[in-house]
Amino acid sequence: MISREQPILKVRDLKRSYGNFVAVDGLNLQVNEGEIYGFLGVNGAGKTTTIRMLMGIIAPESGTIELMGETSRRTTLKQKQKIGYVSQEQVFYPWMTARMLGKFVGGLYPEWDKQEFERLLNILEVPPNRKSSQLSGGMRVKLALALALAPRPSLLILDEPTAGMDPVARREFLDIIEHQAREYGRTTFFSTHLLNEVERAADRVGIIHRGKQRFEGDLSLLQSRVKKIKVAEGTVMPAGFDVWKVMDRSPDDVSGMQEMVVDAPPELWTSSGLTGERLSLDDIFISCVGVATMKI
Amino acid sequence: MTLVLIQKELRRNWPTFLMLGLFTWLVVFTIAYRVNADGTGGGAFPGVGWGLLYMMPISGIILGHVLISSEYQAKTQLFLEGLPLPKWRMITWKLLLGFFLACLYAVGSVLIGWLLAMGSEPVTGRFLGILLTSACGWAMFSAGFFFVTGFLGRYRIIIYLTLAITLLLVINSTIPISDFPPYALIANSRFGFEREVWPLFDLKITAAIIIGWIAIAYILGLAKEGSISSMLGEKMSYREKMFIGGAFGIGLMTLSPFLFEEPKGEPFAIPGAIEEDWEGVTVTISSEELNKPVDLEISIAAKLARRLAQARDWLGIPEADFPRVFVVEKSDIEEVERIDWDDVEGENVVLMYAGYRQPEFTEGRLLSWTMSQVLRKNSKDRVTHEDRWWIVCGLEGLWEMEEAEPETIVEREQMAVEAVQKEGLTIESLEGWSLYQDEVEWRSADAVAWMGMRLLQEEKGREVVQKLAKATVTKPFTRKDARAVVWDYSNPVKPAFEAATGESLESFVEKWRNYILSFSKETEEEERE
Repeated sequence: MISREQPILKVRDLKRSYGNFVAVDGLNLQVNEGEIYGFLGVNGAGKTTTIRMLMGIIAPESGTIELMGETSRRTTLKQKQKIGYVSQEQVFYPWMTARMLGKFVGGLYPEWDKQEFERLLNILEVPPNRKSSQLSGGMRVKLALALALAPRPSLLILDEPTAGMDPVARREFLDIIEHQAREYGRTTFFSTHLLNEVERAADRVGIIHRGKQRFEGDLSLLQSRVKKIKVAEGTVMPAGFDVWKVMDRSPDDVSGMQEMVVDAPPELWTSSGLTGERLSLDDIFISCVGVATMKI
Repeated sequence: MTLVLIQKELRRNWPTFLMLGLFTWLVVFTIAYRVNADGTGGGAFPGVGWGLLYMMPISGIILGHVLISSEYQAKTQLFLEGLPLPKWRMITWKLLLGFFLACLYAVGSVLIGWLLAMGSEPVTGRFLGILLTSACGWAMFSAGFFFVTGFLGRYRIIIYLTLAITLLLVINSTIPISDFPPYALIANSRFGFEREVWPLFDLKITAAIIIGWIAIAYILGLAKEGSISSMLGEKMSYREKMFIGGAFGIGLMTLSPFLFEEPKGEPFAIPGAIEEDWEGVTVTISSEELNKPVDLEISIAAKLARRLAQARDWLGIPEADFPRVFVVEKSDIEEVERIDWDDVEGENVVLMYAGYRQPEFTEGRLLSWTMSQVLRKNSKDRVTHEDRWWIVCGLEGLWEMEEAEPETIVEREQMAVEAVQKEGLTIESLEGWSLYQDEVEWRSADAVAWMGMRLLQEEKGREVVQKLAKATVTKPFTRKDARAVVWDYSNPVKPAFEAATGESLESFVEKWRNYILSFSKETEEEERE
């Protein structure tokens, strides 16, 4: 029996390439039982590839995946039966109704709970006898969630489930996820490129960029670690300080000072005497992935 | 887990599977019925072979599309791969279901042939086994191939078009395609004709090819974690469609002179041959070498024409329906026969080969064999149906023996005796005459048939034999449509025999057998003693 606070998913040095392109490069992450883990990254960061490896759809080139106490190179069928999965794109058999899909998917899970599936359809307001082709995008995601939750999985993996949803549907969906996790203690791992989703729902967050993990921890820790500082040009940062981004300077700036975003453990900030400016999560994420010039 | 996969396929595709089965069986029934009625194809089973030849690839294309291509086209494999379902298992069950359905259609088709053959052709367990294994081998080969192409997604169209052109080229070439397995299993020269020998070599080669298809299907389905088949499964773009359409059109135009070459339509003729006419019968005879005296040819042609005209009138064949007869000298035919024949497609012609300068040649045999070919041609092969071929063989004997030497007659009587002593003679022997010919050797079977006709002639007179012949082996078999089958079913041989002779065939066979056995040397010695 896995106790609370113990890892339900542990990934070590996971790597996967497509030809010369390295999609995931030595990724490490840990998801503890009962928590909601937000897997944050821009498009193309390697989130979906990571999730496809976790689901055993594709095999990693190297690294290990420890799921529910069992370590393997590739997720086994038995492990997969304990995972509920909602993929990025909901492609159901268009001729099947929600109930038919439940019957079909249920045949693949030994612990499928038919009553639970019906209950979920009811709660999520998915018409059970309507063909999947006649459901809206939001409804299809809800149906996918019902299918993922009905076998009472130990781990729920969601790959950008709210992509394409309008803001109202997105909020409603996140409410459901949060409710499911809090009410039933269901460990949830969800990927997104939207910071506000992570802020809203996740207990802990992992940031991935260009296949590498840039950060893992809770959000308050992230804000206490990553700060903006202003130092004299050419200053060498002490050991343990990781410079995430150096700001562009205006051509008119003759102060000789340089602004940068730096990551360091909170105790190092204290012991070094350096004082940094606290950043919003948006700014931290943007400087982490380095996709835009910040106006700080 | 397996059950839900099968249920899913059946729930989605049962109308397709059902309609495909019904359509296959309808086509096979129509072709087999037509071939049976036509009488030119040797019965219902060769017709089944024709049907399977075309319908199994068509079924394979549809099954491959429904089970494989449509999954990738609709991208529903993305849904499946998120479930605890290994890809190999998904592919395995799709292949097994496809093979099962293909074999079901093939087995159903053979059973249709069986129903059509009932009453006119004996179907032994061995024969049925050969038919079923051959049909299933072909069905699995076709299905396996189209499952593989199913994984090729949009590129399968190119494969189909290339295959169609290649097949047209092969069919129009002199390549003996029917000798190569798996086509040999279903080829019209074997399927429905081979009753005794299992096509083991062809089956082994076909099985090896099927295993190859399965291996390729798994490689395509599983390679690079299924990403190849997913990529190929994408729908064809407009540009691709235009390119393929253009390439196919250009290819077809380039190859059309080879594909659609029409055969020359000149009527069959032998230039420089001797031609004799007698009351509407034309016999053309040609010697092997030019510049030889033609006295013998003139004599043979004149006599043959006269006797053919007599036989024609005796059988009541209308003058207009009687085929032109060609005799070509051929001295290297087997000594015991000295006569052979060939088919001239699409012409009302009987082409005979005869080594008429050889000592074993007899004009009586040339007449009798020519007449049996006339009857075959005149009836669109329907007289070769097993239940009535013995009558033709008997008539042949009567014609041949009219002018035979006494020692030939005695020799022929003894052949009949040996045949009956060896295999007996029953109603079943008559109903399965081809099998009986195989068992006792065809010349002995012919001797048995001749003795039967001779007995009938001795007992009831020549008019009764004539009445029987007219009722069973001349008109109205010449209809080249389904009416002939209806006629067959409504005029079986047994009642026709009874109507013509006033005696049941069963009692006549009893007498016939005893009549033949009375010519055995032992019986003669006993009588002398």
